[in-house]
Amino acid sequence: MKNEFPDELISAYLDGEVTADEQAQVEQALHDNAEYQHLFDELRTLRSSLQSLPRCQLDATFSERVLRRAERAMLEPAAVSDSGDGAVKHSTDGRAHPASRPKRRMLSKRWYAAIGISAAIAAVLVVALFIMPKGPDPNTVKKDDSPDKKSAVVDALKNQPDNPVTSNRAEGEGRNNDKNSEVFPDTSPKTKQPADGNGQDKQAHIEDMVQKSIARLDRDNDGLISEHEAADDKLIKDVFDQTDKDANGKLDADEIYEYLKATLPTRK
Amino acid sequence: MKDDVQLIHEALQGDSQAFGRLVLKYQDRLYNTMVHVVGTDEAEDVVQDAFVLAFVRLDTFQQNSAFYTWLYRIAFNTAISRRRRRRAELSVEQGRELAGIEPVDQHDAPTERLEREERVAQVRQALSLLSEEHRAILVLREIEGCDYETISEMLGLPIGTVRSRLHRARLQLREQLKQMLEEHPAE
Repeated sequence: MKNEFPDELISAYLDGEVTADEQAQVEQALHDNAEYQHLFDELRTLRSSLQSLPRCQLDATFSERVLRRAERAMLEPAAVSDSGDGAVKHSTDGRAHPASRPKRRMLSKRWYAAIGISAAIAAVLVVALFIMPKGPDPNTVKKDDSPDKKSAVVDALKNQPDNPVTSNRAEGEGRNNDKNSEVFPDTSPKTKQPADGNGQDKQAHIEDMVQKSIARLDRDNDGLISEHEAADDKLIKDVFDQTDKDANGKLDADEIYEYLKATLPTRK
Repeated sequence: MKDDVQLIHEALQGDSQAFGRLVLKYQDRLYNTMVHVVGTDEAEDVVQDAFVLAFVRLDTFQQNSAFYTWLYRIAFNTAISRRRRRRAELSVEQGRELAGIEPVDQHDAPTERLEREERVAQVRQALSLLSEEHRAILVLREIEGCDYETISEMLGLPIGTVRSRLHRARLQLREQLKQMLEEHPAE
């Protein structure tokens, strides 16, 4: 009986998110079937329980505390990166000077340019990797699952300025000790490790491909590729489900990295 | 009262107090949502982190969506990251502890109040036992009152997925509550 009617329509009906046809379908089902009517009543009770949960309030000083922290986050890297051009100054009350904004935007643009150039170089290297045969190289066939190396990928991604997800991770992990790399990635010492061998060549290529994929498809700048966004790329769309290991409907940098690492051919 | 676009513009011009007004405007709403996503202990930190990140990255906000939608995504991602790190540490017991902290309405009769508190604690506990994705979508719909389109935008899901996931989340919550009532029937 249940198979004849998608009972998720009952939820949608409760939410007022059905078309006119669906509404008629649900109303008919509720009328004809006591089981559906019971489910509808239960869902309505559930909603009322959730909506009656008590509301909480933050204390009056919260916004001030946030502002102090936010301004510190702006000022700390600026104080380090300011080359004396006067764009960034500490005011006497310790608040960020308005001029700090253009400085930050300029640095962000430089970072975007650096990512663009890196991506172009990586694309050339990837093409070369596939079309130029090379002799046997033990380093390339050696499986490389070193957590340090993988974290270098994640770290490199963290440094993207418009990536709330990965930067959040940095924020949570080291709130005060890595603000510079977070806000001014182009001044950060925490950058991608230089490739020093063929195993790292491949890793660097994958890192670049991960960055490129996210930069190209992540329209909402949340650092993830959703199913919506993946629809723009047939290749990624086709492998979306197998790449989305945690099945949350989004691809993160780690998942893309793992997929590419497993599927990219190794040089012979 | 200035709208968000104007406040964002002023904040980008360097007026951090304009951003402060955005914080005041959205802090309780975001906090109430995050309480259900990460629990009372962590919610304030998550909200604070989210606002700080939003401030630092305000110039990357493209204004294709509402400011709160963008802010929520930052907060939610912060919450998920924290949760992943702490997943091993979290236990059902802690969930129960989180569920037990409730404001008290002094105007109720004691029995009524106790019953209501018990019910609230059960709902919170059941919510805390859901998966992150089910909890998040339920909170957005039932507590935030977001429509499907907004939820779709916030979670980056197609509308069809929002609809089916929300229904599954409700069924899960119903099952959790039933189990709890069977284990601890009301006296």
